[in-house]
Amino acid sequence: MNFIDRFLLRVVMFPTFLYNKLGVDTLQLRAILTAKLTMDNRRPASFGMQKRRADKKEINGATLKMILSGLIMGLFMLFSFAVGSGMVTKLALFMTMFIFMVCLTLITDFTSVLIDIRDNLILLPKPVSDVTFMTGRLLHIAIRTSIVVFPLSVPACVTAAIIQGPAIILPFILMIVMMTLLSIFFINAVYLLILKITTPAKFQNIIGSIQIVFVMIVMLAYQVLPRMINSSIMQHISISEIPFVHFVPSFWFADACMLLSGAGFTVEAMISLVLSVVVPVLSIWVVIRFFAPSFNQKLGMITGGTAEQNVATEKSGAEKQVIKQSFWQPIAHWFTKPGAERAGFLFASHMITRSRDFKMKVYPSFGSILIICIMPFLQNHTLTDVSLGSPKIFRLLLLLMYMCSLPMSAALMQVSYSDKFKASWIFFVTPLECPGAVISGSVKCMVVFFLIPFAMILTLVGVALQGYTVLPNMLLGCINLLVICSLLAYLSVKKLPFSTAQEASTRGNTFVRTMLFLLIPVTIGIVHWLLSGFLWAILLWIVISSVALWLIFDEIKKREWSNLNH
Amino acid sequence: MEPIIHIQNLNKFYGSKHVLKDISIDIEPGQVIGYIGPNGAGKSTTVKILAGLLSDFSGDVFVKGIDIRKDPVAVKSLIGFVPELAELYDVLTPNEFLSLIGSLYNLHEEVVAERANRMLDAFGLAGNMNQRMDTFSKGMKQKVLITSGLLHNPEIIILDEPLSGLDANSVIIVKEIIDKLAKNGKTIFYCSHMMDVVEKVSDRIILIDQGRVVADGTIDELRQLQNKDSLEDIFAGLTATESMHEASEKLLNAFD
Repeated sequence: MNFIDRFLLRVVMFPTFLYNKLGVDTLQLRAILTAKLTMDNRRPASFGMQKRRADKKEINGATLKMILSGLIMGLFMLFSFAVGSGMVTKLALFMTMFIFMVCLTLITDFTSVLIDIRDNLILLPKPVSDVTFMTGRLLHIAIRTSIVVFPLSVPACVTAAIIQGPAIILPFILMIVMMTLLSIFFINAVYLLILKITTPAKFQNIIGSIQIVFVMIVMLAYQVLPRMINSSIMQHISISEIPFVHFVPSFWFADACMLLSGAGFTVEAMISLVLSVVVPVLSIWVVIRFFAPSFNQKLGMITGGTAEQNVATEKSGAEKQVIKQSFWQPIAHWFTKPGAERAGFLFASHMITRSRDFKMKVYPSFGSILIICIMPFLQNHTLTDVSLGSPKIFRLLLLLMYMCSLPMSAALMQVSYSDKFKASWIFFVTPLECPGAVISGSVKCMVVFFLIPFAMILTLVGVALQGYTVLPNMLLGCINLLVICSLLAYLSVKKLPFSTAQEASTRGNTFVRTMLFLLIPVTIGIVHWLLSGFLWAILLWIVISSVALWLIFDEIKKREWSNLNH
Repeated sequence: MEPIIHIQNLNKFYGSKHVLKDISIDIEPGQVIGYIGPNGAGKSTTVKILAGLLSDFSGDVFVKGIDIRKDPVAVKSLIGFVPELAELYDVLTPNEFLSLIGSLYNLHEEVVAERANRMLDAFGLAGNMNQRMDTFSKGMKQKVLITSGLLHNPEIIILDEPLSGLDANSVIIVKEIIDKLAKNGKTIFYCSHMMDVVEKVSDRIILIDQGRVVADGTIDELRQLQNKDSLEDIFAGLTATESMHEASEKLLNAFD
């Protein structure tokens, strides 16, 4: 246990007298909480950015990391104080983000950490009274929640006090507590909703998707919000002018917070205050009274019994099973030769669309390139500002095309890693002569999955905006993009796909590599732009690049066992 | 008859730890070998070497006359391997997993589809062909693994604890499969802790302990040699350092 855990434990164990009066066995309570906190500390850090590691390195200090990343988030959310006119607007914006962050952080914790099904097997058969058990669970939820809530709110609390004076501190803390209660209600509601519409077996996948969306939203916010501060509209926005804002909880909290800190009495503010206290308390009562009873049992199905959910569904032998053809099968036929290469392509296609681990690490970076694509248009307010035929648009399209290689390099670096790396024994026991074929198949799959759609859309946009004259240049851009990415694959993918555990040490040299990967597309892009006016040069280059592409893939395909880093 | 598997003076070190010590075994085609031993005896290491997963050993290993170090790919295509721990890419469906395996064995797509269909049907998994394996029970995964090891109709089948997680009916199916495969002339190398099953299915039992072969023969030969009836007792007699009786005594004495 680290000092934070020890401190937290001491705090919650302080009212021993009260616990004794309630009939709680304090020795048992302490033992339960100690074990829970120790386990939390060894879990991969939450906050959406879960990075799974190989079993080799023990995770320790997860709690501290969580607090630190929470603090960084909390500091980042301070930007809300730079937006809008009036304290209510600033606070309401902060509180919206706060509720959002708390919900998203806790939503993943709730299944894995807070409602641990192993309790039923380990604690319940022991002579632990119900009241001790429930107190342990509630205190654990309280500790875990405060670890999320505290670092997120401290920077804002300090800032609010500086702007508004110390009178705001207590109301602010009260509102934070109320918002946390409301968030817990939201999470429970989402859980029930998910359980209603889907099977418990799929529950984890849905929670995983929520995590991915969460990471993408954080990246989007990181890109968009600082720019928004500068826009004049945001500077003068006032939240109370927005219609229906009175139905938004964060508005009540902000309004009530201001009222309590002595900002002047209005009937409206009074209503907000009543709502901000009554609604959370009522909602938590709903959670305890109605959600909780059926809930534990349902959660048991999620964490404990997924395996039992799926029983072999017998079908008579005579009835022939229709084998589902995947969407990827025909595509694999176009791009690969039968055998190991096609197997690699199909394998990668299933893994990149389904493996949560991979999606978590790669999809957000592709999301960010989408955002970068949209940003220039946002900043220019409207597209009509720039004439559609102007060289500016052409340059922008070229730039975007070459920029696609950045998230692709991130994806290529991830393709060898998987938390299911042990399953790669299949490549080693089968008579696979050239592992390069599998690698080439999986690289092709990633190119087809991530790059071709992007390149096609950019080309279509280019042609639509500037006519067919732009086609040779866009085509060259596409092919060069493929050349760059296959070159990156040739240089960096030296392991079979999804066959290695993610280790901390492999991340060390990524900076140098990233810089190199940045330089190659930038250089080629600049040369392309300089030559873009000379049609013959572009056509010649297309031919050369196509040959290069073919050669590089041929080299990847020929990679032998001795050339792999295993 | 020329042995299908010929192991001569096999030695293997993990760092300074000597895990296999001068193992020499000849296996005839069509034999069912029960390969048993206590935890850490070197069973898995032997299996890994035979499956072509480890190449840094000393001594000779020939499979059907092919030196495993010279041409591991040729040897791998003769062997069907069912590993002990059901590690598989469980976001795939059985259908997708088996077609991946089939492609790696250079089987034609239609052949794989047909065989996978029939074999999974035999295991009662026909209805689960297109479901992702992340929701499968351990036994269901094990059935898919066994299917993947038999898919290319190998001459030699290495089974490492193939019955773990299987229900009673599936155990019967697997035992019968082993019998039938042996009758069809397949060579089976069967690694297990389940003495009763080993006793029933094997023609020949090889017992290793601390990296050495300590017994090798049919069950009857071992019975005579050790003067004991069940394989369990023979196993204990050969591998236990102190009697099981003493160990259980010690355990209960802990309360005193």
